[in-house]
Amino acid sequence: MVSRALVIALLLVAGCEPNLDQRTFAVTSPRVLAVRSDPAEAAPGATVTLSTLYVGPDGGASAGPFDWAFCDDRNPLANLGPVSPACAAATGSVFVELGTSPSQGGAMPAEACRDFGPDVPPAETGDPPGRPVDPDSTGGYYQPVRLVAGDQIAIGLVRITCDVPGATPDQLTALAASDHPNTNPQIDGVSDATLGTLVLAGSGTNKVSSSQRLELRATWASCDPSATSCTGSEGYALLDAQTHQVVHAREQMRVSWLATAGTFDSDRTGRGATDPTPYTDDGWTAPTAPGQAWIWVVLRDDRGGVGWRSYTFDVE
Amino acid sequence: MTRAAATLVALLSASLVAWTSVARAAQGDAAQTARPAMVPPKLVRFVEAEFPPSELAAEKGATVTLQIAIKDSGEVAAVAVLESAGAAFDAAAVAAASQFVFEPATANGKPIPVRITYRYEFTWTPTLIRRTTADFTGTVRERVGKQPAAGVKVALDTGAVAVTDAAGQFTFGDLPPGTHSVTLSGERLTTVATSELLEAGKKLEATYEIEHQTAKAVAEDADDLEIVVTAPRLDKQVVTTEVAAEQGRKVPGTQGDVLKVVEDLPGVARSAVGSGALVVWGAAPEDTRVYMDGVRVPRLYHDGGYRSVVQSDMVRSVELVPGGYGPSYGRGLGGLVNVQMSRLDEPGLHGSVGADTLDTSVSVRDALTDKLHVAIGGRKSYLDSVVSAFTSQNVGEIVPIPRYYDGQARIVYDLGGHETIEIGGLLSSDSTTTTVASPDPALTSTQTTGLDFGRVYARYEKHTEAGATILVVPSWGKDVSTLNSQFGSTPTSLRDDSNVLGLRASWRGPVARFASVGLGLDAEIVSSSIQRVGSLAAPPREGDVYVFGEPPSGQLDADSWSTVVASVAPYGEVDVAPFGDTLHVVPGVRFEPYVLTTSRLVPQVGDVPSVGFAQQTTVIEPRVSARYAITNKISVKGAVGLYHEPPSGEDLSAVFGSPKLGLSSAEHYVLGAAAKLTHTLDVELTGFLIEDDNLVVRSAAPSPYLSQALVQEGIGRSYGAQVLLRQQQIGRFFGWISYTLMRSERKDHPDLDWRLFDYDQTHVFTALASYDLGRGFEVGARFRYATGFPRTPVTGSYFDSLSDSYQPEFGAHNSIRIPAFYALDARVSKRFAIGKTQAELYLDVQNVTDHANPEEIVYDPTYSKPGYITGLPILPVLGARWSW
Repeated sequence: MVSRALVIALLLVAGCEPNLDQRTFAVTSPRVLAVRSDPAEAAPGATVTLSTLYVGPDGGASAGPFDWAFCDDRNPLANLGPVSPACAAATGSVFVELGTSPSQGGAMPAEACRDFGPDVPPAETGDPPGRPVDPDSTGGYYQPVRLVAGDQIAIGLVRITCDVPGATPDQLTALAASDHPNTNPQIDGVSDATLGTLVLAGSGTNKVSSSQRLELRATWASCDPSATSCTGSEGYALLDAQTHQVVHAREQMRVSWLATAGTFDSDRTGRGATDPTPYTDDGWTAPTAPGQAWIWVVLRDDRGGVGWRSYTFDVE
Repeated sequence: MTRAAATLVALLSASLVAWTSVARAAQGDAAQTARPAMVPPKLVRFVEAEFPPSELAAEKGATVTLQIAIKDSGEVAAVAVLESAGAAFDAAAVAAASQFVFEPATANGKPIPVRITYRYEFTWTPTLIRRTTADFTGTVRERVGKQPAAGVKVALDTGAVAVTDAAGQFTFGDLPPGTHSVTLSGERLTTVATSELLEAGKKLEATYEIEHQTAKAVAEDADDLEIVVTAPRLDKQVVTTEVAAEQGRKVPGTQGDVLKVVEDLPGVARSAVGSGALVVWGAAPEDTRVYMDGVRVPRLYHDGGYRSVVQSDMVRSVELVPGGYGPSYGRGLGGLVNVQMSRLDEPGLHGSVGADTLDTSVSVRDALTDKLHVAIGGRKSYLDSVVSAFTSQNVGEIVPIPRYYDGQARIVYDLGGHETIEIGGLLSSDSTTTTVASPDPALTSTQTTGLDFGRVYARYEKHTEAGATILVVPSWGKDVSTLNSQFGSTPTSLRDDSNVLGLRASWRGPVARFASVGLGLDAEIVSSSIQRVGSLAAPPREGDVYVFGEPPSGQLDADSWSTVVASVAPYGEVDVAPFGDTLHVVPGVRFEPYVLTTSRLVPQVGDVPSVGFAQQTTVIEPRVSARYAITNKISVKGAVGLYHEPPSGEDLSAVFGSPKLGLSSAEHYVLGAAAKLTHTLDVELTGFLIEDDNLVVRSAAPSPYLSQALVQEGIGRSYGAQVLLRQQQIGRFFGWISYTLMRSERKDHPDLDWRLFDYDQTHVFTALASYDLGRGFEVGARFRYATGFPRTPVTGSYFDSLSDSYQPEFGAHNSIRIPAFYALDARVSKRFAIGKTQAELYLDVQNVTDHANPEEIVYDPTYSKPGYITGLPILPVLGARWSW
């Protein structure tokens, strides 16, 4: 009877999983890998500069065309995605067009905290007040940005600096003292035990043998939780939705590993919010065929900040 | 009753077809001289023959051809039979004809003796006789298998007694009209009484069913039976399918779990593997209510649907009423599952131990005295432990392995006079844990779920000499459901602690020669304390557009609130049968005032004290059903009713729902016909239409109002037909074929189009059979086919930079389906006698053909390639059961 259970368990494992490729590291066609706002967090009306990491299988940054726009369509409650489906369209009346440059500046919509934040939407006479938008687990609210890059649509989310509704004066004081706008993270370097610190793309080429395995480590700054600005895992404060108390937290850091050739052990690695270690490791095996390969390493914090690095390899 | 009479129809002119030799001689002489003046004999005194009593049952006539010799005096000299119609008819005809008196035949004016041929015709004609008495016949048969039960003593209050014959039949004649108490008893039988209404000049035919107390009891003494009076009764439901425990245990695919047979009944959609959801006639799973002997429980199956929440030895039968039920039940828009617990009245110590791949169960029952019986049972799963012990793979990453246990305890005291009182308790616990480890902290996830419930109850039941039944079932229980998950940094938690107080009380019995009445009170108070943290979208609701396995939204909120949902519903119904058992019209009404309260009308802001909200709503729910027997084998039936359902306490949140939600409603329309093809083969066809209103849906407003995340703008409709061809136990065989053709749709908002219900299944077909090979071997098979559930297609995707993932773009809501499911299951079992105990080994193999049934649609990370999660491959479950 016990052996039957074993059979069942194994069959469950073998029989239930669909045969779908779950890997996303390979860049085989022009593709948006990241959308970034500078600064990473801005108040309504403030100017931000938007940029993207849009690359192709030939390694270089793709030329576009690009089409940037803020989306002002509020996400319906019945929609489970991160933004309104209308925001993921190429055109429409919900967009505030920004421009077509690879890096595009623009002022954050003045109503961002009302449409996508904690401000209560105005009510018609006689109607009850509207429902504010819920924050994410870091207490943040986000203004959607739509980017059309080539034939691909990407959504960026710019963190909005909004008021903290429901906070007592003491809590507001505590938040003002310990919270600060997010700063985009930055990769200090990517290294390998054999090669040492990799040479950035544009500054040179890294040489590897075909099928050579590299133990890559991406490193970022180690942050003092009380620092007001840091390119690593920052500390921040938020008003906990459940306890209504000010709590302190640290950013979760994620690294996405992407390449035009070769194979990564994992598509993404990182550190959880409770792990302050300022680096993460992944293995990359160079392709078997000689030639050029490109690697992109994208670092994200969980408050909407993003930074990246590009590397070129000559595979011999 | 009819009575036949004999009638003389022969005419003498036609009968005088031959003369005697004397007459012919006279004619010859006359011919030689002059033609004599011949006058035939004339019947002057006719005597009516008695229609032979022995031929009455045949209900047809006969003709006897006689030869009558008539003297010259006109008297009958002799009567002989020329053409016989049978001894009885011949004798009657001869006896009558012998008393005839004729005016003699004459020749030239002179009387002469003659012989004539005379046809005596017996014509059967029903004769209406206004009788002042009634007849009463009936059949006593076994409840399981429907085999006739011989030797059962049937006694009336008139003193008349009959014992059933080999065909299980009994007959009483010429009884005074009126209501008579009927007592069924016998050696070592539990005597029960009921009453019958006899009408003058009519014959009442009744059927009583008996059932074996236990399999062991049957083995020891086939006469050790328990009597269950099943007719007449106040039939509440127009559409109902009931399966006895002994039969349900043998159905392939149930692994011996009696209650799992519900999945094979008509009107029930096939649930996805591992869900255990009960979808009846297109209603949401939570809209179908489950009762155990009058005590409502929150679920019928443990997590995964592999097992029911009650040990099978505790179950006598299970009944599914998919809709159109009477006013004694309410608070649900969907169907009704009634589990009847086994009777505890057998002497001695009995019990069973069962074990298979999933779990082990134990039950013990004992008669502490002649009047006091106790039973205790339980079950515990261990599949998770077995899997962990024998594989290093973390199976729980892919399939949540259910962990469950349940227990039941009952004490029954026989107060005498057909009066019992029972104290009982039910306990059930479920939990699952799924953990997915990942080097990506955003993809690391854990999820634990749990649902524990317990019930304690008392049950007082009395059957009066006048045929009434009094039932009082107070109960108290606690439900605790939990969901805790962490997907990356996104938490979701939901905990619902509810106290459930219930009371069901009823009186049912005859009140007139043509009417029976049911009166009762159905009360329930659910007091809940709920805490929830997470996204509005987690867990998803019916109608949400998402992809299976899609991470929850990162937006979070929290709420903590308490609710009370209470209603006390008096109800009444009357079964009017103006023409005996031919026509039953059962109008009824349920009057139900509801009180709904919630502790928080708006989301909490800072330290501002919360303000609660209360509302009171009263609904009147008229329901009527009718049944007309066109013949004694064909009947038609129909039902119409109004039903309401209060909102879930979880939906009354000021943050995640709306505190002002009211009642949802449904109208049920049912029309059907049933035919008895043979003594044990029945076919039943039922059409249904259910229209839902005020369904709770998510707000579609671009800027929804505060505390109105949920609104009551949804409507629904389900319609279709089901057919059940059921062969009761005949010899060694039983089985059934059920097919349901159905469509269930929802319209979430007035300006949206109709869409398919998430659980809609167009075709649901089940065929199953079981055969006893003898020598303890039994085999069975089940084939199931079901249309796949609707799903919303993914038509594209966009890149979400924040989460570094692709997000799906959807097409028309629920416009595609998961491919159809079909599977063949088989079961073989062998029973052994071990001393005075019995053992059974069984092998229940699901999906014998190892067909890969798609259960869900999933996509690659870019949503460009779909794939299917397939269900269970061939799954053999080997089990054993030992009973004593």
